[in-house]
Formats: sequence, C-alpha cells, structure tokens
Amino acid sequence: MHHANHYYGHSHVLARYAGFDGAGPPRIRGYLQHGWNIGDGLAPDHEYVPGIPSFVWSETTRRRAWSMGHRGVYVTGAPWAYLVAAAPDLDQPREGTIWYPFHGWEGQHVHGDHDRLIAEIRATEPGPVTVCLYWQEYRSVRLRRRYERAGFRVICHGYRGGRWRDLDPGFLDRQLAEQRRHARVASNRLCSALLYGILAGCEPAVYGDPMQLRDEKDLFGGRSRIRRQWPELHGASVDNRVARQIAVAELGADRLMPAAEMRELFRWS
Amino acid sequence: MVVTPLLLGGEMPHWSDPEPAGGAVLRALAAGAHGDTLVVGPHSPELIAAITARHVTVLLRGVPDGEALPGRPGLEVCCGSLEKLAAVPAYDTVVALDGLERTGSTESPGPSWADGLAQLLAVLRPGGRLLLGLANPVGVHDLLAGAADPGDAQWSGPPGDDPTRPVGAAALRDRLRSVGLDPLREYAVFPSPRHPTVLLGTAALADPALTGFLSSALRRTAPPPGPLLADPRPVAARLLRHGLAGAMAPGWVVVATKTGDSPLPPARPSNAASSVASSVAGLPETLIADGPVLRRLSPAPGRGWVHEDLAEDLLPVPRELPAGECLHDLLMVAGRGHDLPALRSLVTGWRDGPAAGVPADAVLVAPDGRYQPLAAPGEPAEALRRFADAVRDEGLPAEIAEIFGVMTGRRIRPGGAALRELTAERDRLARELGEAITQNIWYERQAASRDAELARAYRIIALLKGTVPGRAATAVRGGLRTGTSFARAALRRIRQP
Repeated sequence: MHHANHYYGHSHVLARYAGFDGAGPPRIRGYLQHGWNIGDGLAPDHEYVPGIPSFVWSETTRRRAWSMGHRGVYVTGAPWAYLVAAAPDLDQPREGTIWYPFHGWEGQHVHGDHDRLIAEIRATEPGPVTVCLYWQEYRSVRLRRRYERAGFRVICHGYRGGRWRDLDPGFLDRQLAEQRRHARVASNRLCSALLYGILAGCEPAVYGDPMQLRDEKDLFGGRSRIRRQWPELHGASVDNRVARQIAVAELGADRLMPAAEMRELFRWS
Repeated sequence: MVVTPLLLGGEMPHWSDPEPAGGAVLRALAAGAHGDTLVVGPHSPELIAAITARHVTVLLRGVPDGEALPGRPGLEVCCGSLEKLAAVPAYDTVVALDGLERTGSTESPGPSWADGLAQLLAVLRPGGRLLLGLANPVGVHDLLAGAADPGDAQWSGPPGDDPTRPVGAAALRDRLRSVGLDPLREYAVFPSPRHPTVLLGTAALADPALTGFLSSALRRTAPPPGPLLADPRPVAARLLRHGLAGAMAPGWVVVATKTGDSPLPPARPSNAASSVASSVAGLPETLIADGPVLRRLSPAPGRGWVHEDLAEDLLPVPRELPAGECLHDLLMVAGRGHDLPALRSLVTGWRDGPAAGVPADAVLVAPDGRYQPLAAPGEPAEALRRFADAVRDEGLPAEIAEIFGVMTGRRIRPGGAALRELTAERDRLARELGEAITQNIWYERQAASRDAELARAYRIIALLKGTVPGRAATAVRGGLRTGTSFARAALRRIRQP
C-alpha cells in the first residue's frame, strides 16, 4: 500500500517467506517499518491514515509507538531477520571488516571529515576493509576514490527503490552475502546495517566521527540518547554476546511470525 | 530556576505522565522525608516542594516532566528508567508514593514490581525510610469504573497481571518484611490511589467506634472523574461498615524502615541521627483532608480518639473526636427499612437543630441523640438537595424518596450520573411507562363503557320523544323556550332609553 514498503526489497522478502513466488509481492495492507530508529519505527515524514496498521520490527518500538498514541501497531520483526533465518550461514570463511560510513538519505547531505574517518578505520581494523557507501555517496567518484586510495574495497548494495519504481528485490540478499564474507561490521553510528551485520554473524563496532546531516534534528533524543541507551555497542571492540541479544531484540528476530499469520495480517490470504 | 535533567538512559523524550501522585495528605506524609531523599516516579511539584530535605533527587521517566519541575537549590532531577539508577545506598528516604508502575519506560519491558522494590531497597541506607504506594487493581474505584480504552501509558499489561506484585495490604506488609523492611504505618487510601484525601490507618479501620466518623469522611470525598458503573463513595461507606474498606481500598501506602545499621558513614550526621530515629511517633495514624483543613486522628489512651486540625494559619490543638453515627447512614437505614417515624424524627432533628444547613454526611448523631456538625453550615436547601441526590442515587424505594420529598419539600429529581443509577432510572421510567400504558387502557375502557351507556340513553330519549307524553313534554318545553325569549326581548325594549 505504501511505497516505502518496497524499499530495499522488503515486501519481496516477506512475500517469499509467506509463500508467494513470482513477479511482484501482493499489496500489504499497512505500513512496514523500513529502517531502525528510536521513535515509533516509521519515517518522520510518514503520513498517517487513521485505521491503517503499522508493522514494526521490535517490541520496544511497539511500546514506543503505543505511548505516542498509535494503535493498530503489530510486531512482525524486520524482513532482514526472516532472510537471515531462511538462508542458513554455511560457515564460509570470513575475513576483514565491512564498514558503513553514516550516510544521508535521498536529498540529504552528510558533513564530516572523511580523511579523519579513514585514518581511524586504518588504525582500528586488523584486516582488509570493505567500505559500503550509500548509492548517493557511491555516485561521487571523488569520495569513492578517497576510500579506494586508502586501500579499501568500495562497494554499494544498490538503490533501495522509490515510489514503486526501480525496485530491487535482491537488495537484501546481496547485502547478506556480502556481510557473511566479513568477520566484522562497523559504522560511525549505530544503524540498521550494523544491527543486520550482528545478526549475520559479524563482530560489531561503532567508532569514529559520527558526522552530521545538514540541518540534522536530533529526534527522540538523537545521537546522545543512542549512545546512552546502547553503550555496549559503542567502541572498537564490544561484547559479542550482548551485541547479539540487542540485535535480536531490535530486529525482532525473537518474534518472527509464522507465514500463515503473516498472510492473514497483511491481508494476503 | 530552569532544570536541566540528568539523563540516565531509558528516558522518554516525548512522554509526560498524567496525574502525578499528590494532594494534601500525601504532601503531608512526604514532608516528613529527611536526609538525602530520592523521589521515584511522577509526584506533583507541590509534593516535591513540601520536602524540606537539603538534598532531593527526583527520578522521572518523561523528560518533559523533568524539565517542567521548578528548580531549587539542592534539587537534582534525573530522567530514565529505575533500573538505570546506580544501585548504591545513597538515600535516607525514598518516596515512591506513586507506586512502582510508572518507573519503567517503553525502552525496556520491566521492571517487575519485585525488581523495582529491590532497586529501591538497594539505594536506601540501612535505617532509612521508604514511603511506598500500591494501587489496588480490584479496588472499589476500579471495580465501579466504566469501560475505557487503554490509554497511551498502557503499552504493557495492567499492573494487576504482574505475578510479582503483592496482592492486598497484608501481602504487601509480608513482602516488605521478607526483604528487610520494617513497616511502621500502613494506610488504606481513598478515593483514588494517586490523589487520596483520606488515609486510614489500620487501628482506625479496626475500631467500630470510628465507623460513623470515617463513613462521613468516605462519603465526603470528591466524586471520581470519568464514566462510572456506580458512585463508589456510598459503596466505600458500606464496605467500611462490613470491615472490607481496607481490602477494597483504591490503594495502600506503607511507611517502612530498612532494618540494620548503616555500614556506611552517613552523608550528614545530623540528618542521619533523625533518620535513625525512624519511630512511629512522627507519623499520623489517620489523615483526612477536609477542604482546607488537614485532620490528623490519633488514639488517646482512655479517651478514644483525638483529632488535630492542621491548617496553615492554625496551631493544632488536639480535641476529642465526636462519637456517633453518620446522619446520612442513619437516614438511609430508616429509609430502606420504611421506618417513617425514624426518618421523620431524623429529618426534624437535622432541620431544626444545630446541624441545620450542614450536609447529612457531615453530621454525626451521638448515642444521646445530639446532632454534631463536622462542617460549617451552608444553605439548608443545598444540604437537602445533596441528600435528595443521594436518595435517588443510592436506590431507596420510590415511596421513601417521595415521602422524603414530602417531608422536606424537596422533590427528588430524576436522572443520575453513573451507569447503575442510569440503569435504575431506565428501569423506573420503563415501569412508569408500563403503568401509564395500563392506566391509558383502563381509561379507554372506561370511556368506551360510558360512550355505550350514553348512546343507550340517547336511544331511550329518542324513543320517549315519539310517545304522546313525550310529544306533550316537548311542546311544553318549546313553549317555555318561546316564552323565555319573548320575555327577554320585552325587557330589552323597556330598558332602552
């Protein structure tokens, strides 16, 4: 129903899980959370329509959304968690770090010192580094070159899609395959990709200049709250067991829904 | 003075807790806090201001609530969930009169009631005092509340579903003892757990000599907001009479001390000394807010009970508590028993005596028959109206309500606020409608019967007119009519000038 339901191929992943093969996924009756955040789970510019349900990733997000007056909020878990559960890790050899520099989303621009960040990454990471840029940054040849000159492999998982166009059903599959090649996942901010990496079996790390979006507003307490609430995930080396517990909770991997229930809930039956 | 809260983690940037614990009686209780004091959960700014301890720390989950607190020297405001508070015994007094339910946040599933208590115990110094509230999920206020959608604060299950939460006042007492707390006082609170105006101690609840006085106090609490199945105040008075007021109270408050000697050097020796002296002496047995007056009840050996009325401009003087039954209760008993002489005698004694104009629920009738007002008199009509409303709402037989109206000249107005009264009103209207329909049928039958008799009479008249005597009678009547009109015309002519 909402175009953001198709970002990163989320609706395709869930449709596959629910037993729908073929072209496009059926229309989900509701809004699907498409990124980790510390608010009600949905994008700040999201337009609410009364009576339309929201499908969020975690129980904490459901509680938050309820406290903000939203009703009809259901915990489904993140599409990533379904993908990870469905595609078992074959224990292939892992090497190096996949590093996600904080990025802006469509139309946003990040301010920060990439050279200083590169120096921190080189000083911290023990093995080879793959830097994964968001498609906006990846298009900047100059920025790409800066990371490549540092000896990093530079990749992009692809375009997430927008308003039902250029949809990419294989986005998350590529991301999972890439993450499973790496032993570590790191970023300068706690974000979806980092939590994904933890669930995919990487050791996490959050360090370096967190950078800033132009005119960034710290919604719901912003970066300082994230550091306060999840201090265990911040630093160059963190406790893997604790990190996994947090990732499981935040991505709702402990609350995955049976396919039959999902079909009913999404009005796919 | 602007407050910048210290953020501990787990805080809610968008959240504000409605209806913080407060009111005159809780304020008076909290004012006794001494030494380093921690206030946990939402409490009204007035209650926090009443705590005169030099160092007061307030822990709230909603950041806007923390920012809205008026600052003062020695006040520290923290925002976060209870489990984020450092578990070191740093406080001589912990005030948690709002209970433990609003100390967790959306950011974690807990804490359970037992975990919350353990956390409070961990921050309390040995010999320190805990003031703890506990709402009763099956209290009279809750059972009689109308259905309502769960509010924004109910993102988790209701408190009553927490298996670690003590069930009832006795279980609360036992639990506190089991974790090393020594309960000093225990109160049943009315009419609401977070904003009570009546704190009833266990000795007061157990003394039948106080029933009249306490019944008056319970009847005179403020009506609860929101949709109701029935007005809980008269129900509370009945529970009191049947020894169930403690069990069915909207909530309880316990004041307890942590046993053991402090292994740590006290923060301030002078305060620590008063902390150790955590005797029952300073705590009221029962506390009742009556308008601007705060009434403190204490047992007096050999004299029953005494009360001190604490008002800002008065020096409290202990006075003997008047004994007797609540007039309102006596009127109801007489009414329910159809005892018209007793009802008449009570109404007369009330209207024509020293309690004239005082509401019936603020009058005690002593064993010797004296009427003792507990409040200043107002308009007699207003006092009667208030009782008349109760007559309607408490379901006295319609005849008694009618008789009461006749005795006092006050007609009982139909209508009621709570569902039970509305249902009773609907039943009464349905009955009256049925009666009216029956009466109408009866009237129609009567009218039809008379119509039939009239028609029969007309037929007889018509038949009689056809007979010789009938015709003669008609002629005579016609002649008389002609003669009368002729005479009137003649008179008019003569009178003309």
